[in-house]
Amino acid sequence: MGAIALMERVIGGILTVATVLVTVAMVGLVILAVVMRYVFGAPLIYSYDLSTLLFAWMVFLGLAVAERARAHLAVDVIDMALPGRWRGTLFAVRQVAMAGLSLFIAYIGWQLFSRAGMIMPSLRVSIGWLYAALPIGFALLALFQLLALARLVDGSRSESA
Amino acid sequence: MLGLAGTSFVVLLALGVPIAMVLLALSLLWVWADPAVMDVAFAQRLVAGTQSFPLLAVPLFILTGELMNVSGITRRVMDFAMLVTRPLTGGLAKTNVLLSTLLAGMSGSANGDAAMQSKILVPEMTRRGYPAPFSAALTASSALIAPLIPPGIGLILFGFVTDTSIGQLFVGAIVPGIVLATALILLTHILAKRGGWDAPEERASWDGIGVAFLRALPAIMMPVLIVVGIRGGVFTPSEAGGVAVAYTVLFILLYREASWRDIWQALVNTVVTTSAIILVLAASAAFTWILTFQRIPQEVGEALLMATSDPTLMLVMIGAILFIAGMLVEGTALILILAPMFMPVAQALGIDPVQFGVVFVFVIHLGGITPPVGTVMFTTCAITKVPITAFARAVVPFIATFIVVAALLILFPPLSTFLARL
Repeated sequence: MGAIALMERVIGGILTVATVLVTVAMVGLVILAVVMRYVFGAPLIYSYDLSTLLFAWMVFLGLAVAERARAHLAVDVIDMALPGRWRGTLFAVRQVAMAGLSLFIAYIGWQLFSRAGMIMPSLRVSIGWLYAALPIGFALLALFQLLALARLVDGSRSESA
Repeated sequence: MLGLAGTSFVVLLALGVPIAMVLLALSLLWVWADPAVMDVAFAQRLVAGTQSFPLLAVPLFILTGELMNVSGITRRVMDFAMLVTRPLTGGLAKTNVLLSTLLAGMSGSANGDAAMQSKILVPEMTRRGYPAPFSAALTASSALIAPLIPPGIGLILFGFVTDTSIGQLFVGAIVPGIVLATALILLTHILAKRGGWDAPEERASWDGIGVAFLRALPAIMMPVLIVVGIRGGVFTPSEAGGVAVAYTVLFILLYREASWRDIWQALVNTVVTTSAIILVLAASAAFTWILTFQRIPQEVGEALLMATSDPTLMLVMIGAILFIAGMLVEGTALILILAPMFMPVAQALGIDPVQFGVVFVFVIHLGGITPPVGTVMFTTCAITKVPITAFARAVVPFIATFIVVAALLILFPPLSTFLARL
């Protein structure tokens, strides 16, 4: 115990707070847009683009939060059927393979980000602000996929000790 | 190619790899194999998969359901449902069904509904002498009403991936939702009478029922507000989601029963659920993009059309495929992957998209309470501590009832299309 669990808690906590803030901003913006249109007769032209931009950040940063909550949709019949040791091995192989995949997606996402030149018209900012969510989200997902594994190894070591 | 992709899909899934990761891995393998497709273009598609305003309805209605559960509205609706069903045989079991129906407008997902009722109703049912496996099976079954009565996350996703009007799907699913609730009440009546559980009690005073009704009214009004707002062109489904959140927040402020910790947890749950669903959506959109290059959806469609060209038979066949698939794989993911593939087939045979959507979403959710794998079943069993084997035995009459309801929806298209076409 110690370093890994602490790191997991601190980064996980920061990420959770960040995604909740993004969500609150997104929800607030959708409600504000309806109010502006009907009550003040002055529609917010940037509300669609800004709310979908916030949505992308909510989803991609949320990937790691969902991994932490073990919420990614999966079929676990074989896991349940396997005896403990084999289950651990399968889990380890799976986490490493998935982290590799996530890192690769983060890498191509980074390439996408570094080529971004377009400006989003209604917001007048670079589309890079949108694309950056992909590499950052998947890099963090990879980190938490590995942290879940590290915690398991840590846990079984402290158990046997 | 199709065989290889299909086999690796099933194997990876069985090994417990999350569905989204399986879809991403298979798509990337294809991107590498074909030099004409750039991986940056693939990355761009993944991000583009999230950039759609209608999709915001998903987190907004999830948040509405989460907030409702902590607001105190649930308890008020339950008080009303209990008063109404008190003079009936198996009163508390009927409360279970009625509560799911009345709260359906605020909880868009079957799983949320099942979790909430497992916590608050099942212990009370056990105290009144119902066998726990029956209570668990009933709770899981009545939870299937939630996705049919507006708003339903499954209907939103179906409408999104097949380009069907979400407003029409919402309206179209109302009558099927009521049919389902009625069928469940009938079944509950028969089972409770035969088992001799929970004898009728004295009727509550009309004044008492009236007061309870007024207290429950805000929740019952929600589907009306949403449907009228969307169909009347006042707001889009996503904006309706925003209004629904604001509406629920109003009651949180009014009742003052939710703690900050509850609200925080509701927000975190919304992030987690949304992120998991939208990752599958973005990954399956990218995967479908690749399948289309390979003409796989067309091949599947042609194969299905070769088997039959009768619309009713086709619905039965697709229904059977979805039911079996739903027993093994999470329903939401199946909507995202299979709906775009099957929709052209339905259209080729002149099946109404709204009827198709309602049948599709209903049968997919049915898989959620069917062993061996079912999200709603797992949730209910985990909370009520009923073993899966006991649940599997108790749920049989419910599944039989659902198959009858599915048959009605298939044989009588107006059940789902009449209101939608009004």
